[in-house]
Amino acid sequence: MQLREIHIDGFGIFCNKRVTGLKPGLNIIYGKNEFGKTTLLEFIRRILFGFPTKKEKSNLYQPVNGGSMGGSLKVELKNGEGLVISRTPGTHGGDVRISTPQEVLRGQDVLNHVLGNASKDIYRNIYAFTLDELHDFNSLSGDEVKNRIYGAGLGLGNLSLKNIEKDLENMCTQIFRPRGACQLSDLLEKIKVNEQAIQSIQKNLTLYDELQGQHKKLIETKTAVQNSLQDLESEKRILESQIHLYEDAVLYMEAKDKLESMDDYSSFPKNALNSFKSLAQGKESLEERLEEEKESLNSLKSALESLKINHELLKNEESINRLQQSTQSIHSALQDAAKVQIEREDLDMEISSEIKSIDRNWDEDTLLEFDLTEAEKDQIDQFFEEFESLRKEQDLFLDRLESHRRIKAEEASKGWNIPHWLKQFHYGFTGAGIAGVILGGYLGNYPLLGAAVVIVGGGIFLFKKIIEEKNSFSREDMAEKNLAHQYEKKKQELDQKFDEWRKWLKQRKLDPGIAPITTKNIGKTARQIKSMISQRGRLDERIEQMRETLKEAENRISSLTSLVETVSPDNEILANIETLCQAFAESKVNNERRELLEIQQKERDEKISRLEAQLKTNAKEIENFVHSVGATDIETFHVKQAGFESYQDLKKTVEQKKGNIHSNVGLGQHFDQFLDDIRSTPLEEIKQNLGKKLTNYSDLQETREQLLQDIGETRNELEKLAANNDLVERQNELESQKQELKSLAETWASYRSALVLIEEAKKRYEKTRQPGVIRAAENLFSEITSGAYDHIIKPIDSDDILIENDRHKRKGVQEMSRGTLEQLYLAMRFGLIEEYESRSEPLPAVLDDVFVNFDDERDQKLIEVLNQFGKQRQVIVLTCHQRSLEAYKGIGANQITV
Amino acid sequence: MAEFRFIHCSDLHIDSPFKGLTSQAPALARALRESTFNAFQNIARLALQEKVDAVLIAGDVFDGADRSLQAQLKFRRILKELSDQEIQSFIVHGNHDPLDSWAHTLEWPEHVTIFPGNKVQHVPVKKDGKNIAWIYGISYPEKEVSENLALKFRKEKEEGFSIGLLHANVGQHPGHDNYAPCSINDLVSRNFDYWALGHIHEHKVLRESEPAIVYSGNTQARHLNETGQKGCCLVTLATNSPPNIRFMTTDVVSYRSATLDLQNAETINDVIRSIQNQCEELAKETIPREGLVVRLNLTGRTIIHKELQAAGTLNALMEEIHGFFEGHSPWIIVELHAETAGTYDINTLKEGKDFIADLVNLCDETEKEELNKKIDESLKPVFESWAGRKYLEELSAEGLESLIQKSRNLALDQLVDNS
Repeated sequence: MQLREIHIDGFGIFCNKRVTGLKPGLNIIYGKNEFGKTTLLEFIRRILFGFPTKKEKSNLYQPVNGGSMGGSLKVELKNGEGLVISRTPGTHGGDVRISTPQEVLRGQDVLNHVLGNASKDIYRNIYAFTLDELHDFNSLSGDEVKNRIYGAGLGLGNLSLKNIEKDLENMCTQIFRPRGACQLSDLLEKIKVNEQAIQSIQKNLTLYDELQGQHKKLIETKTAVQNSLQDLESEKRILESQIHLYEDAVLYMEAKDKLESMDDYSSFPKNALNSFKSLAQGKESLEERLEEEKESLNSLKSALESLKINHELLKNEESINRLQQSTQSIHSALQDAAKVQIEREDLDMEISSEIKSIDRNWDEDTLLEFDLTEAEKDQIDQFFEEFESLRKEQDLFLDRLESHRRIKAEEASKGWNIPHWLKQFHYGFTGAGIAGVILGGYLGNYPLLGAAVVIVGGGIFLFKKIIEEKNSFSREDMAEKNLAHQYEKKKQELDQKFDEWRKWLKQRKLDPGIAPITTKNIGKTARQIKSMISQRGRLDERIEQMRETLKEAENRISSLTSLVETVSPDNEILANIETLCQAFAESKVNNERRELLEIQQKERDEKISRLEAQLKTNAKEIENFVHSVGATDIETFHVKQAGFESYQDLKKTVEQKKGNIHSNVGLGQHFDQFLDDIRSTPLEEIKQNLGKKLTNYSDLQETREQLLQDIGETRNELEKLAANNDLVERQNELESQKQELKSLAETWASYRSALVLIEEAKKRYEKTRQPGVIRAAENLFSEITSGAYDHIIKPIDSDDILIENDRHKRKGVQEMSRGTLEQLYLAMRFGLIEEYESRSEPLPAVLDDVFVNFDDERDQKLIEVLNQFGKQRQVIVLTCHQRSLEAYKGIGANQITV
Repeated sequence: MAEFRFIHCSDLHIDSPFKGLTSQAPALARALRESTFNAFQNIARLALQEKVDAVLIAGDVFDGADRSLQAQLKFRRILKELSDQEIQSFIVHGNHDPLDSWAHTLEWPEHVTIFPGNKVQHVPVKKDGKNIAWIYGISYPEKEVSENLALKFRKEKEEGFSIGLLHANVGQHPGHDNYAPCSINDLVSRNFDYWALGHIHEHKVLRESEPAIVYSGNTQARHLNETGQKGCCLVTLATNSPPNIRFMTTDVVSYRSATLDLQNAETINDVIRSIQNQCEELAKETIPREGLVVRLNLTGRTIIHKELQAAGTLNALMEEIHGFFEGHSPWIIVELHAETAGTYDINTLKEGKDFIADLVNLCDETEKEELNKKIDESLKPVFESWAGRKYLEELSAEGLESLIQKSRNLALDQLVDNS
């Protein structure tokens, strides 16, 4: 990129300033101090890379002569394309526009691309700088620039060898450092711990041997102790059984001695006492039963004696039965006789009064003769009906006559009440009609004629009606005559009928004055009285019957009176009958009982004699038994029995004790030995012996327990050792750790030797190659210094720069004169520009009076170098020296007037 | 003479811990440790199956340094099984289990002979009441035996076969401690029928017959340097015919080393898949009885080289693989070594004119005494003066070279900006 024009709107002292005519190659701008050269330089830098912010504390170059801040650069790219780059203040370095003939682009990114991604630092430090900046050592130390210088030849791009070395060194230190914690020492520590653990586990091997021996010994001791314990145990048992059985043994021996001194009871039956007892018991029960039987016989006898029987009475069983059967009828006869008599008399009186009620003249015979047949009854009814109907008819006519007379009287009292004008109305009416006819006929008016005819008809009809009414009054008197006649006729008929009735009554000797209904009632009453008479007859029969019954009973009683004391004719019949019956029944029952008792008495007698025989047999048996067991009598039997019993007891004691001792001690020899020991040793002494043994025993037992425990522990220990897997685990771990250690050490070694390699390679590099920048700078520098210094050396691992003269003498920065140093830096910058532009868009180089400290010779040389340098690029030199201007003009530089 | 049939084995190293990184799979560490015992069990099974007359064990039943009571008890249990079946066992002690390292009070079963350390003893093998063979043997009384023990053997009995049971380094075998050194001629001169040797972990028949001189090798490999099948010798001796020696495998765990080129791997998942496939492939090839221990060297220029180099990546990978194979039969343990490189081309780098070229060229020079010296010097703080140095292996010339290559890669990983 090359500048063609500079347009400043406002920047520092400049306002609306145009710098034109900039050409490729060397351009020179001359201006005195305060002219604004540095301002121009700064303007170009800021248009390309942005305005600083207020924070950056650099000169902001605010426009002092008016105009708005900013401006533009008209440039031409390497490919010939023309652009205008303009910038106004704003954020992020200001608002930048890149205008091509076709379009306007914006933003620093776009511009950066145009600038070949050159950075602000690069441009400031190597392309456009002031004298101060040239001289400033640090301006060459910017990271970017430094990398350019040093990295260009290394072929490492942006990598920092220093950092790589630092990283490697770090990795080495992490793994190993002679002192302090590191991975290797940590691991070593772990290995040592493990080794120690393994060693101590391996010692167990001898421990195992020792324990095995110990275990064996303990087992032997335990066996010996076990044997002694067994011996003691049996001795202890003997003593314990001696104590335990001591009493039994003593009892056994005593009993045995006694038994030997006793009679022989071996033949004595074991159950003798029982047998005797059962016999004696049999006797007792027999005697008891005999007594009982005798007692009951006696009571039977007395019962028989006390029985009372009336034998005579028993013979009259039939009479007694009859009496008993008739008791009911006698009883009713006695009770009813008087009542029936009274009933009969009442009936008799009623009969005679009933007869008299019919007719005073009637007696029983008349009554018995009188009777009404069915035909006569019908006749009476017929009479009655005829009387009734005749009387009703007569009454009917009488009523009708009377009512006719009453109505007639009422009519007569009312009179004719038609008004007088009405009586004459029909005449008027007819007259009017006739007048109408006439008028109508006269007039010839037919409707009037018609109506007049109708009115005449009406008048005639009314006249006729009044005539009719006068006739009905004259007929009324005929009805009254007729009615009175009929009434008289009926009255005669009734009287005739009455005569017939009286005649009928006379024929039957009845009072002719009685009515038909009464007659009918007399018939009824006569029948009732007839039934009363027959009832009286029945009552008479009954009274007779009663009398006969009583008579018969009295006869019978009197025939029996002598047989029973309590019966007397003075007593009531019923009481006597009852007494007789009772006496008879009693005798009968007693008689039956007597027969029963007699049978029982006979049975008892037989039983008693049987028992007595049994008793005798029993006595004989007892006697025989007593003899059979060698006793003379019962008493001696009892003595013998007592002896037998104590013999049995002793024998039992002996057997029991012997058995007990046997089961504890054993038979034969042991048994005898045991008895001998008991005989010879007192109980106290045995007890003392046992006490001693027990103490020994428990001591030994304790020893054995201890031994068992020891054995168990030893065995556990042995098993633990045998089962211990720690060793295996540890060994595995150790092996693993050792491998890890080796591998870590190898890693460390590879890092470490990588560092050695880099170090060695660096030496070789410095020796044989230098970066292209230095090499380019070296040529320029040599030219400027007229070959006084032909080598620039940049040690690879330091920022120092050395120059070497033809005698290989090297000089450091501190040793150089100001001018030489400036020349060196200028040469370095040109070297950098050459190196940079080999890959990038060239940028205009702007040098602001950087040659002031150059001597004439070197100034001249520099101008030549610049001339050469400017052939490939645009160089703008700003100077305030007329001399310089002339010199540059001399070599054909393009002068620009501002 | 009758036929004599026996098993010859040695270097059981029962219960010795696995020498490798097992922190990855602690459960399998136990299985690994038990593998030696299981291998011995396989021998006992074989003995019972083949109805052999005797089992000869030529030393190093245990690892002296790692001896444990449990191992001895386990060993005794197996011997008891053999004894119960009337199979005699003969045992000499070697440098790893000298007499002074055993539990003395352990009672051995009836038909077990443990040879003394002070002299050569001979014990008959009886069959049907006749002595069909005599076993001569001597144990190591202590770890370090520099005496030529072979010369102590003298044939005492003419009847039956004579077999020498010895733990020794015959012919100064490299890679093994030179204990009881002797030559083949020393052994031949004893006029025996068979030398049952122990000490060398690789099965070797030094001489086919008159006498047969045989290393049975160890019964179970214990680390990744012991690859190949391990077992014992089933030997039949018969009059007038050369010995019949059959090698029978007994190992339950196999060890395999392999390289895995990750050139085409683009993601960690690719790596995991490749490792899984490789492991399965190896398991199919090897067909171990119980388990397979695999060392995989990951090689090749790969874009995930940096990722693989990052701390913890390999451990995470191993964990992932172990998780994947959990419950797998056979079980599989993987030890990974990352020897991959970045995708940068060393040759191109070498041609450069920059610092990296200088560094690469520096490592590739054939004469680099000075560099070696400087590296050596820089490693001294750990490998020479540090307290833990005894656990580290001395750096060999090859080791140094490989270290330099590794360091170079390490440096390049940092320097070459692949992004």
